[in-house]
Amino acid sequence: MRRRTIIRTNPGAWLLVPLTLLAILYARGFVAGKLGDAYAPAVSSAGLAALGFIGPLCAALGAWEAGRLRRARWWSAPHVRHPVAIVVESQAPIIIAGSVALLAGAAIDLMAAGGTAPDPRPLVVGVAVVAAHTLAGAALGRWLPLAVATPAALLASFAWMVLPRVLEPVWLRHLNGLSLELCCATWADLAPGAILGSLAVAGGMILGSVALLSARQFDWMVAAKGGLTLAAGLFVGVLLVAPLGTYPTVVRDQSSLECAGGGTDPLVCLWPEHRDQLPVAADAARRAIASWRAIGLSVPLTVREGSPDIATPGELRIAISSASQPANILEALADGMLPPWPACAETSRFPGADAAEYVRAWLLDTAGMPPDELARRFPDPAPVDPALFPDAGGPPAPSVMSIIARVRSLATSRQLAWMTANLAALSTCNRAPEITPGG
Amino acid sequence: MNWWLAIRRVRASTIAVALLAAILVAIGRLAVTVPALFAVQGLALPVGLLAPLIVSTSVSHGLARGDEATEAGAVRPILLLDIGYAVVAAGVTLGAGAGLQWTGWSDLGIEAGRNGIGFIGLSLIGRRALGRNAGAVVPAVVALLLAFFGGDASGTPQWWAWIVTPPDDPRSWVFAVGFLVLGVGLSIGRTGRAHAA
Repeated sequence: MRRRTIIRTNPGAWLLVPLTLLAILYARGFVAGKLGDAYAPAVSSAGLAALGFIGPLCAALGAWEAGRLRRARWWSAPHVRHPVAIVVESQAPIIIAGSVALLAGAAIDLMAAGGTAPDPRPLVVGVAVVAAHTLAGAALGRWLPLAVATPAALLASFAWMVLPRVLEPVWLRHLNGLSLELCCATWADLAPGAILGSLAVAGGMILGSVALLSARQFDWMVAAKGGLTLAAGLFVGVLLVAPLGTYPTVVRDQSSLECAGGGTDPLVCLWPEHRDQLPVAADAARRAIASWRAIGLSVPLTVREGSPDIATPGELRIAISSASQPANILEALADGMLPPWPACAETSRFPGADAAEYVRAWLLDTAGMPPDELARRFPDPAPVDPALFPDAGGPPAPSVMSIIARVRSLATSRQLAWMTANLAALSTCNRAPEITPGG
Repeated sequence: MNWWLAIRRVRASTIAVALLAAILVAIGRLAVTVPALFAVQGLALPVGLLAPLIVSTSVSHGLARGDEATEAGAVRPILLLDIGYAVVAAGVTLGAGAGLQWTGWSDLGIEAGRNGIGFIGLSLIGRRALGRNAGAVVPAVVALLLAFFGGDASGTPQWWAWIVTPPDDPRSWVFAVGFLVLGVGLSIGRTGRAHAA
């Protein structure tokens, strides 16, 4: 078919510009503002958010275009080319339009985050999903009346995109490719299972659709061939994504950390996205660790960025962003000093939790956080109006700043004992903290 | 008349209303969070509010099945029957939804019925404006666009996102009934021209 004819007749060609503008608008309005660091997997994956509407629209357009050929009785007319060649020619403009829109949105996200090179993995998944939904729509349009196929394709695709996210088990969401948009904090990377699983499902959809599209007559064998191919893709996808949790991520490869310091100074390692923060972080870590050690606390000499959920003995784990100020870096160091919360914290509040704010405040004060910054972070609790909250019984929690002033006025050994007792309370389920220093 | 009933697949629309009722009872409140352009928090869209598209698609499919050339010479007023069919289907959808709500089987029944009226109206408009095969596409596209773009910054529906606003908002009924009236009006205009010809 001549290119001019395709541009004149194919809905993919008509909608290339509006769909791309919509994806760009969406990326600017909804996605780009939420991006943090210029971390390629996160930024490129965020671009997949537009799949939620690009996929259904491409499915509807695919059904429409295949339906046009059906209405024209093209499939029953004698044709030299294989049906798949005809399908490719009629559906390619739609797949191209969807892919261009998706990539344009991802490019906007990348520019907004200040990134230079995208991560191709989520983008490949996105293009595969666009192709899968377009061809699945075309298969519906090939065999169902146009008035039914187009809305059915639109709604089925939309349902497949949004429903798995509200269903159990949670890994169902990783089958449609859209869940990749939930990737990633800087300490995480895209899980290969999520990428391959969604590619397997998309592949099953593509092959199943091609089987349905290439048949000359619809019968149970054709339906079985298409259905089994789709089921096989789904089965492989389930095997790949079933080990995943809520997010399509794995822990990031630690070898990409960039380090400074070492020797007598702390070794501070940050992700490449935070390399500009390395001198500030190294300086803050040196001062903070020296001051904590001076009191007698046992503090590791290695500071690494990593998942806050994973504690590594002998290392102080921190999490910062490229927008972190020196005070935020101090906070990250203080948070890294807190022990992991005990298992009981997931189901109920444990008594030691009350000590967390006081311990943090002590760590920040000792590390040299300016008093005004400290006071802003730990304001005195507002008095509770008994008229509004008659059930708010018990004395109010003591002011963090006043307690810290009292603790800091104590001898070094007393401060160490106070910290040791409260750190112990924070790491066990049944130990009461000692917030007000005795004596 | 039997031919008209068979060609318009009236029985399929009856099944579609039954299917809508089943969806409303079974999973009507199951809400999907749709990413919204102007919202930090996406719009929560109950599945039951999109389910009336099944009825509008069925009606639209039925209306698209007739052979226009043959029906132009029919003794019976086919176009008026078609319009009546769409209006009755909208009424039955609302009645079924309201019945489910009043009997406590669904708390989305009236909203779903309202959406059914609007969707059928939109399919009549789409049929008239874009061709009879496009009738069912218009309500589906409108519904999805409203779902995607109808949330404000806090994730609550904009007043014009009539498919998700509460049923006590009269503006949503103005939209829904307005679309049906407009669709009927456009179709009647077509009837007049057909008779004049």
